[in-house]
Amino acid sequence: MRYTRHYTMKNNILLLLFLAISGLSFSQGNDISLYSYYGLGVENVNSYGGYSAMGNTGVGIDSRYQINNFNSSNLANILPNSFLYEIGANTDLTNVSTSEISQYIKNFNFSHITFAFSAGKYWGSSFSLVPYTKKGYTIDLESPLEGSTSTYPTRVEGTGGISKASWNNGFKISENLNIGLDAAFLFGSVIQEDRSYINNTSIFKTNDDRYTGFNYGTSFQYKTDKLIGIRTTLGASITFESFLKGKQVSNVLKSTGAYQYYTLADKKDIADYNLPTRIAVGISSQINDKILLAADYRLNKWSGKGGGSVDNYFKDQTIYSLGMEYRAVKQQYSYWNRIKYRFGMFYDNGNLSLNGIDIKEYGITAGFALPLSNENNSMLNVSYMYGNKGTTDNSLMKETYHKISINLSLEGIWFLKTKIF
Amino acid sequence: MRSRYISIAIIIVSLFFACSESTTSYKIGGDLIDTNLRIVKIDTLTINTYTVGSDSIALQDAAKVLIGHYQDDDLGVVSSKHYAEFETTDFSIVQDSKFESLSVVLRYDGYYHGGDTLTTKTINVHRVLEKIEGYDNGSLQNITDLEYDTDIIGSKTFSATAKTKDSVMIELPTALGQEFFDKIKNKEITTQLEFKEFFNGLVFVPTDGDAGIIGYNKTIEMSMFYSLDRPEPDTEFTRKVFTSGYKNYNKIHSDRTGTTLESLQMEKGTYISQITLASSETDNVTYVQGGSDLSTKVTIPHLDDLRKFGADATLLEAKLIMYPEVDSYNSNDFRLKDSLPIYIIDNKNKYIKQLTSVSGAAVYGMKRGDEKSIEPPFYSVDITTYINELLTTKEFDNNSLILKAPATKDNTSRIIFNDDSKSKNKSYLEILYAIY
Repeated sequence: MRYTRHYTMKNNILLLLFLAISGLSFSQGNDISLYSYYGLGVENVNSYGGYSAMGNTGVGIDSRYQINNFNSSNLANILPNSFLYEIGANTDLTNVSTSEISQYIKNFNFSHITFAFSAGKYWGSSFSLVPYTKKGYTIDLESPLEGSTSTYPTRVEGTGGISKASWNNGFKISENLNIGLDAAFLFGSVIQEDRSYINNTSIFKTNDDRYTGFNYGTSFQYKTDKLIGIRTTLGASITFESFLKGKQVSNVLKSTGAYQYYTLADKKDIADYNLPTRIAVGISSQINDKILLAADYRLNKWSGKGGGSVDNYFKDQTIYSLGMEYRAVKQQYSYWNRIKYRFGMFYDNGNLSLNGIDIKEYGITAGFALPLSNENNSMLNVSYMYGNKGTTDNSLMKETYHKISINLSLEGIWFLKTKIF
Repeated sequence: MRSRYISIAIIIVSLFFACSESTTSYKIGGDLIDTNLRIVKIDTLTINTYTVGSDSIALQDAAKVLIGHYQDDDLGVVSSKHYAEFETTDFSIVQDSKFESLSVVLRYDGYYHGGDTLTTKTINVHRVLEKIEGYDNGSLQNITDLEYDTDIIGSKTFSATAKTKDSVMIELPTALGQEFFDKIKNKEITTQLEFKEFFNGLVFVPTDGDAGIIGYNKTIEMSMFYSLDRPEPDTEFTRKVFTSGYKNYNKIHSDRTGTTLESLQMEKGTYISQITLASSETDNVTYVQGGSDLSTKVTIPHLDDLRKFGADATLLEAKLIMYPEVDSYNSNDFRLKDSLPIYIIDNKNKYIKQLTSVSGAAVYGMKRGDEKSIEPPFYSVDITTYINELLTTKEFDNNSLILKAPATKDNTSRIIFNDDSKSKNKSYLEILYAIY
């Protein structure tokens, strides 16, 4: 039996790797969002596990079977010899509308790959790789020809993004109190390509901004059975302000008819990219055997941050989320009764202010978790999110999306010798 | 095991979604997006234009015969003579034959320029007294003036309109014909060389007046008719044809006395050095003329102004827009040529090379618009490669551009360009510069 499990686990890891690779490679060139033009692109804000179906809550949720990316102190809860691994992907169908047009785009994104384990009696640790930000947009502009009344077309395209490799640790300080320490290495490049056409000539500039840097954070969770319901967990986290070092590789290609020449090939240091301090507080309560409620509040101090004077679009961002998890009855051995159902909602006032308008986002979520095994806590989590972002006012763009996230949250037992007899 | 199946299902679903992605572009409020490129149009850079006379047009291989004379209000008296040597392939004449007549025939090719089409035209034919030298090596130039006999040996006065598809026949003296006939019949002339020793050729000279310049086929036929010596009813005429077209050229001359271009006057067949006349000296226009080779030279004295855009900038396009003076053309006999060649010259007005595009193809000034339309036509010349070279290499600093008439040796067309100080339809340089 144990042999079989071991074997399955190995195969699952191979599958996870395959998924990760296919997800990373196929997610290139997507039209993520016009709003990904700003800063380093659109941030990947998905919770791990099934929490994305709970309105992306998690700061105050404790679980020993799921990796919590919103509060690393929770890692200390992982059972000894338990090994958790998870991969997620999502796909969305987004209706993008401006005051003039309305169209649908599809995206597929790998969202995360992570594993966590108990590193000691009071210590849990996780490693993860996440596409942290993503750029994907194609915008056609009519640029004014200076010195005349005419215009010429310019196409601005953005691709790339920043990846985040994290090492998070949770420590059990007392029976009720965990603290977490996070470190992450951020790396990647965001590319803007501008193509202008005039008469028989075109000019094509590529700016490839390559960033690397670290950020650090800390968190805690405190459990009590005295507050609401059976058990209440309070949590908070802070990610400290950090700076990414930037280098810009620029190329300018001039084309006349079939003839092309590079007129610039340059590599230079650019201003540090300033990532904001992020503060999050959350609470969750196991009301009874069936119902878990969770609420998060986040504040991302984006105002004045970003990559220098160009990014003065940023403002402080506040996100409120609410979530609920329901399961039929505890300790039911019927497969269907072991399914968990989740609901949530969120409101995000956005970190962008464009043309005097805050780019807000809000949505509702629903999902379920399908148990994959009788012997462990492996789950297939499916979440659906319906959301709105932005507005068509003031030449802006509104995105209405249906997003399905799927992740495999698997549990293996580590460090057990394979016993054949 | 269930997880494996589900994993596989996810992979399949994910591949399906991945394959259906598409790229869509949006037009949105431009003020929200900062592009990394700017394009600037500059059409205020000074251009200086000059009329340049040249005394070095090679004359060989003219494509047509031009003969005529007309009075040009701007350019003075323009005239064209035609010099031709004649050849034949067969120097044999049947012994019992007798000479009848000698004549030349000029066939119209449809070209006409200037003058009054209703005025009768007169062509006088003279014998040339010198051999046409330097034809093959290009040293035969428009300063060359061959001596010819003042005696008129043939003459024709005729009226011709532009549409005539006819020809002009000019009788030559019987004495000359008889001399040809006898020398060939008596085997005194048996080769081309011997014939040319004896006969240098003919020059076709127009009389003064405003009759215009007419174009004829490159080949002029000189026909000698003779008859076989037989009883009267059986007389049979035979024709021996001498043709020109191997060595012939148009000698086009402008007498600019009394015009603003008087100082570009040719004296004794040569220009007084390489004089250039600034447009300011010639009523803010410059000239291009075929035949006597007036050209318009263009310099751009303040090109360095473009350097204010710094190193992160590049020239995209430079176009010279040259407006002909509106009164200087019409859709009849002063039509504008569709294209004009353009050359790079040094500070001594010596030709360096024809202007070429990046692909290496010759660049021409292209006529845009039409003489008949309300918007006046202009010539657009893409001089991007030239400006690029000026901006990148110092050695070009003393060079300039010159616009010429097409086919100067068999064309008398002319264009009068406005300079950049005119209030209406001024010529200018248009530059597109990208800043990144």
